[in-house]
Amino acid sequence: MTTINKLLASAVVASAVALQGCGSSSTTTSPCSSVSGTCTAIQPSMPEAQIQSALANLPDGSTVAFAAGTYHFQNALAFNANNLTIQGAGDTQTILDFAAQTSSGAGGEGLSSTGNDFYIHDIAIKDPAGNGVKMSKATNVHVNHVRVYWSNNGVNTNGPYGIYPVACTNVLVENSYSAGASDTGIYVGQSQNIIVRNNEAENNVMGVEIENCWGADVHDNNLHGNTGGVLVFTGPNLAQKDGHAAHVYSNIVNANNHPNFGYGGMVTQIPAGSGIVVMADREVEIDHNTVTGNDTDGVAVISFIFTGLANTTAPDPAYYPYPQQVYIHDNTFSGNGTAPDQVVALGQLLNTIFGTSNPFPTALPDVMYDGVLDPAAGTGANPMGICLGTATPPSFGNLTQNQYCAVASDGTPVGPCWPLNPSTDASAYNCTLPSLPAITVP
Amino acid sequence: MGLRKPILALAVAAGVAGCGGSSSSSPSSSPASTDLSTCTAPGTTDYTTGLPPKLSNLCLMVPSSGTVQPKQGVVAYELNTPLFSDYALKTRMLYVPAGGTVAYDDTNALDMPVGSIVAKTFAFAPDLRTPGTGTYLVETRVLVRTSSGWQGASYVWSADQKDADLTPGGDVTAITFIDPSGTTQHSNYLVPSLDECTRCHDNASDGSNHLLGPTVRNLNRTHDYGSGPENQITHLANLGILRGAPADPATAPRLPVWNDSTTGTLDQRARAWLEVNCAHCHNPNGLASPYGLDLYASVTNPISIGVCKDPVAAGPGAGGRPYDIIPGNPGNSILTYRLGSTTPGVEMPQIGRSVVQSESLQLITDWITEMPLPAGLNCH
Repeated sequence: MTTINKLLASAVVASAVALQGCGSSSTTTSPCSSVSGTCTAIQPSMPEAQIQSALANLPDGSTVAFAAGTYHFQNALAFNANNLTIQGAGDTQTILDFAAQTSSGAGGEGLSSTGNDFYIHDIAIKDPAGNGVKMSKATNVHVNHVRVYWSNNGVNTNGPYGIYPVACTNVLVENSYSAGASDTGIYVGQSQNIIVRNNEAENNVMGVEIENCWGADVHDNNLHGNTGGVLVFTGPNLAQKDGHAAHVYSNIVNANNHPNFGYGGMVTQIPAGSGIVVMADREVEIDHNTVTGNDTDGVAVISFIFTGLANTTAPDPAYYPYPQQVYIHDNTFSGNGTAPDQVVALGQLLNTIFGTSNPFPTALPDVMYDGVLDPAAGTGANPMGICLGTATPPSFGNLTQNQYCAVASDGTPVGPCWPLNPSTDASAYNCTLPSLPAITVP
Repeated sequence: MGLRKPILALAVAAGVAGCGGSSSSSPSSSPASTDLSTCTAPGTTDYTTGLPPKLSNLCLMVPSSGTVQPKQGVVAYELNTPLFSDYALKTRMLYVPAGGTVAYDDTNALDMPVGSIVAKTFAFAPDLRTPGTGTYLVETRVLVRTSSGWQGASYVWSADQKDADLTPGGDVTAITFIDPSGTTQHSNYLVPSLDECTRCHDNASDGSNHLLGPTVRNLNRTHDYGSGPENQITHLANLGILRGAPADPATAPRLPVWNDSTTGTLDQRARAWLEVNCAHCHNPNGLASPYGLDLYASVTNPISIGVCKDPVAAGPGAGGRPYDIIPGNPGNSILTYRLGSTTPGVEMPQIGRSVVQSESLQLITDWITEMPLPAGLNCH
């Protein structure tokens, strides 16, 4: 880490005392009172300029403690220290409000950090111009009881991600809440060793996204009212390749039917009413989830080719566009697929096999597989290793029967498989795969 | 009015910091040359325990009528293609302690010995069509080479223009001026905090600051040191500072001047501008490395500079446009959207630019317009 200006380090220690003398706050207990070590106390009575100065160049190992109240920021909060703790008095008691973050040139995140061993807890981030809480390129990040939300739901001017670890190792996001993100409420990208548990996400385009990650447990989250609940995928042209080993279990994925309000990027392709989507990832296990009332589908397993973007997106020689070793078992499905999205291209495609006189007159299958196969994977009945378990498999649809199928970005269907010619024969998919080992974080 | 109050480290420690107030506004007149320092030249101090509270303590420069003059042993320099900072006028200087040398390196920024200082002073004038009139100093940023790495700091010039104060927390100041094309601009001028310094200068994500501007290729140009134009590489070599430089600087790499078509092709000038303004984050080790762009001018893979590359996130940053660069179609390319924006969360770079540089946006627009679709790519 950058060498700390020692004058400043001593100043910060003093600031915990000095700053409390400012403003007109009442004689409440210092938010630092229960913190051992260097702690900077922040009170709602302090003007932003004073807070920003107090938080500049914090020494490693510090705590920043916000007292209960609402804080109005015009500028981003950026941190670089290692072993930094940011804490509030509770995720509904301490609110960092960035609604006034409208002036340019000073950053778009609400709060961002690049240090290792970062812990943020019991605080809310409201209406940031960009992402809510961003943690970049760090080892050991922990988000606990954090709420990130935008007041104005369903608009693409909201920031893309609510809670956003990227290129991190050892990630724990728990007991948190995210709503209104124009891409994803809780997004973990290009990270390793991840747990996302006991969170709630609503009114985002996607509730939870695991993109190009290695090893993630996503469990016991309540994901509802988003465009889609969970997206596990690998995209091309990113630094970390080969997304794999995501275990999505024991989540509630209910009524994710919000119209898609993304504005560019992969998730704009997600039909409203998507429960759990796996795209081009490998070793994915989806089990013991309760997947209900998602109007397009319960679980979809698709290739990058099926999105229609493969034809125009820059090719990545290290990118594998097919899903493989996906194990879907012991989930509870009900009421999915009864009103597929008619807005985004993929939804329109699915509508061609839905409804009166079509293969699925009342509901699309709970589990849909695009059936786009790697030509090099052999000619077996299930060369990509998509398994539905052996006990009471869900209703199933194989959309393309081993033929290429794609839609161009303008929605024009291309490829030899048009129209879709789905099969409900799941016999080749009644198989099992080894369960993924549990993720642990330090 | 400043959005962040600069508070001196020493003042905070002493408990005398005020709780409100605003930062200095631009002065109405430029006083004549003032030198508050009694020193004659910078020394060999290893500032490992922090930088001094006043810029004059570093003994680098003397303010004079809205600009600064180097003191003894301090060498002024210019860059072929500079970082855009809301049209601020910039004066650059470097200092290497006597006897210290810098090895010639035609790729990386110069590696200077302990005690070296690089300083960039930012000034504005009410009308930048006549930048010599009413010019006033705003800020001097320094990077000081200590035995534990490069230590960054910002000093904000006082209203009387006599000295500048260490401002570790940064500041945002409203500055109104007429830009070189005659357009009135309202800048939210950012004085970076120490954390914000590293957002750009830790361009390798290794927890250390690095020099960005002084590469051989960006320094390889002439500067008038008082006796007519002289090549800067040659000048530094003749001073004994730069060791191992080629005798003929024409054989050294040279970055084009982004807005001088005699110095490079449209492609070369656009790439030079992108390197200087973007590559500190968008390189394989930088803060933005996860997103897969590499905007150094030496990169040849078109996908690495964004051609037909899909955006990672949906939302305001992509603006509904499908790819970073669509050859022939700047109006549907994300790059021009973000360079043309002043919305937080959309604009690029993310910090330090609050007005659109229409001239470079035009350069990038022209570049994309004339860009042929590379073989093997198919975005449209």
